[in-house]
Amino acid sequence: MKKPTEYNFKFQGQTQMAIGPEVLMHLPKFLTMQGISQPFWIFPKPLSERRFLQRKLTKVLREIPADATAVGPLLNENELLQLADCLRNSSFDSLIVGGDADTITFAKIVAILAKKDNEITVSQALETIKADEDIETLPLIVIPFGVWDGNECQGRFTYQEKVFENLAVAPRLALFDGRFTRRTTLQAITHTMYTALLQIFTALYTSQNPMLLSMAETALYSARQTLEAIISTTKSRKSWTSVTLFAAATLHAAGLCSQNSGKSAIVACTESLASPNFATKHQNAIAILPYLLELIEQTDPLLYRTIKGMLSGIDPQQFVNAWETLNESATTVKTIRLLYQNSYTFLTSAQHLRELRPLLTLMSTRRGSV
Amino acid sequence: MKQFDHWSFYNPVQTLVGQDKIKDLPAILATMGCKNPLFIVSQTAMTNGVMELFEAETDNNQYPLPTQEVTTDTIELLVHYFEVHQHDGIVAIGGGTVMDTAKITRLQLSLPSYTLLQLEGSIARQPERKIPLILIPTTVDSGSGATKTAYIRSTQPSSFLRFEQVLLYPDITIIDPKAFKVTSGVQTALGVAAVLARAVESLTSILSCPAVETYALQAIRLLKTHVFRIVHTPHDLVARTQLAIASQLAGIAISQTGASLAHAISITIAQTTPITYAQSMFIVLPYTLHYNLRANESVLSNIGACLREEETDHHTESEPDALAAIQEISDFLNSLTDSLPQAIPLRLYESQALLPVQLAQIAETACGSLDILTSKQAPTFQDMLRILEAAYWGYPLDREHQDYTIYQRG
Repeated sequence: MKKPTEYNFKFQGQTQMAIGPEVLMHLPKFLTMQGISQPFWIFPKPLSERRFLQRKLTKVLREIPADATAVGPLLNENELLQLADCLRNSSFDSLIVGGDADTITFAKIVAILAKKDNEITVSQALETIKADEDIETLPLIVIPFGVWDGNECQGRFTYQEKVFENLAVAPRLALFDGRFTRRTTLQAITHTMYTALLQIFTALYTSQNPMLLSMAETALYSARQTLEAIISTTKSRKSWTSVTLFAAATLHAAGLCSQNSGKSAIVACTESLASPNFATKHQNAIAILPYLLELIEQTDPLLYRTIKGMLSGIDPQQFVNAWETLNESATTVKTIRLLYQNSYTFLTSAQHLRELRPLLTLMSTRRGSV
Repeated sequence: MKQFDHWSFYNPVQTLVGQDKIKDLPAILATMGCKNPLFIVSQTAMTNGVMELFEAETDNNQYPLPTQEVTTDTIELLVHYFEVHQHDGIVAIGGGTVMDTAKITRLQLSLPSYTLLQLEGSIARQPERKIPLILIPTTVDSGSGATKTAYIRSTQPSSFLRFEQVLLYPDITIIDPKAFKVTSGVQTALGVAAVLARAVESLTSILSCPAVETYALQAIRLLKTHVFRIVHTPHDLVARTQLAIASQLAGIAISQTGASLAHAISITIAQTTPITYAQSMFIVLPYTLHYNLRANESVLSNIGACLREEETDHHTESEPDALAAIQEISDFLNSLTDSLPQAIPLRLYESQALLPVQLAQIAETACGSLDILTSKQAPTFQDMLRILEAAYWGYPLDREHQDYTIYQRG
């Protein structure tokens, strides 16, 4: 592990996290705390989800918010530009979005566009964003439910298969209410946890300053609680709610670890090599995790022991293994690992790379279509 | 199965840590779009060479804080100075007072249509304009660089104003061990006591959550490991960095939960007597912990384990363990000053700055403080007086535990 004299780090937790079985009832208090008085609402288009959210909101706000729109389920460029146009010269001081990962991504892009001049396309607007640049965005508040992608509490989002990142896009506040999170499936939870665990371990592998260690400890505590809760869960609604809330806490803390340790090629690799109908980024993550832990054990045994301590004495390899067997088919994971191994063996040859470069360059521009 | 309870966590302050990090200030200001910042500097920082660490020219932008007490009048002067010289950001260099002054000045500048009296309290508003704020602590304090709270004395009417809102969070806090100029062993020991007290109070608060626990316990671990080096060899850069990080971690933890009983009493004592906040925390903490003993048994056992450098994940709810933990905290505080040439008062009585007749007034003011809302047991006026009297004379708080010698300090 790094010595204290080598300390040179920065740490920040941009997103205020509020998690609880009925945390939405505290929404007015959180809005006051953040100084937000005139928000614009974004709801998901599917009627059942929208009505469910609106019903709960009515209890808290005593009325359905009038300044609102419904979007999705897929990202639509025209919809994005139109909404950004409406918000650009308005007096709204923030965006509140309730919905799944796609709806939240939609809101993140609108939050950027609303503070930019008229742009020709969304891609052109996003291309100017750099990770380290201080950009102006409309403050964002998220109420996640449905499918999570692990980026809910971060400044990252994916648009047209490209990953964008800027801290200013991270939500100001994320409210994980048990009544919404319990709609998440076991598969969605385990998949998100794979990515979260990868984020935690890569962050620790990169940097071990006291602030990051504290956040990683919180994340691993929550991950352990999630696993224990899944294993011992009964069929009651209350126990499943607890599972999803512990998972949300892990997601947030892992996101903070990842955000503060800088860009990781390991995490980026799982995102870049994700392909529809074969391996998601989460499946790639669980395929890589045992090897990453082995690497940590070999190169930094003290860190490995620290991680073990954070897991209350559970061996990190066994912990990851428990998560893997919980949901993922062994065949899929093995196939992904073989693919990684074969790609490495093949592409580390300079001759192979030289000959294949023109062909792979051509393929990379086509996004899978011929 | 463990059920999930409500919790919330927010830490928007960007903490930059590293040796010579202070030299990055011009680049950091440039990224924030700040070309003409106002430097609010403590008198000590002006004279002890901290300003020489800057490579950029700052002479024309400096506003040295007066040595006498800072009041709302000082804020008015600073706001005027800021506007006249067309500054576009604030950099504060100094201890707790300087940081509180800078935070309140930024608040007033961000919301010019309100008076300071209107801004007092915890009602947040969207800023009318954006004023970047960078804090550079130069003393061991209780983590002001990470909190959204600030205090100042009002001149009209004469009272203390308490501000608590998101706008008080600095944008960036730079922790550079070289900026922590050497203070005396006694001052450092008292600073450590304040950091420890903040960490402990965040753990025993009703608003504590797992994230707060890990931050606070990490702060206590750092204090435990490095405290003797920093008290006895204040030049040690590694120990200084660790102590500054511990202070920031405790500040982050306490900004989630809010302070509690020991803080409410200590801030009242500091505002009404010559006894400093850190000195009061040093004396009062064990008594307030004992007052809340039954509600905090498992947390106290955890703190005890942390001070013994053991695993902290085995919560046990037993009174003897909790009492032993308070003993360990008390021993830890006492041991800070054991080998120092100058003695630190272990009882309020020994400070010779407070009379017994003043205790009732302090108890009454502390009872009206918002901070006691996070205490697991709501103290009455009589409870508060009981704590203060015990801390004043150094006798055990609870007659049941009279045989227990830990509170017979002094």
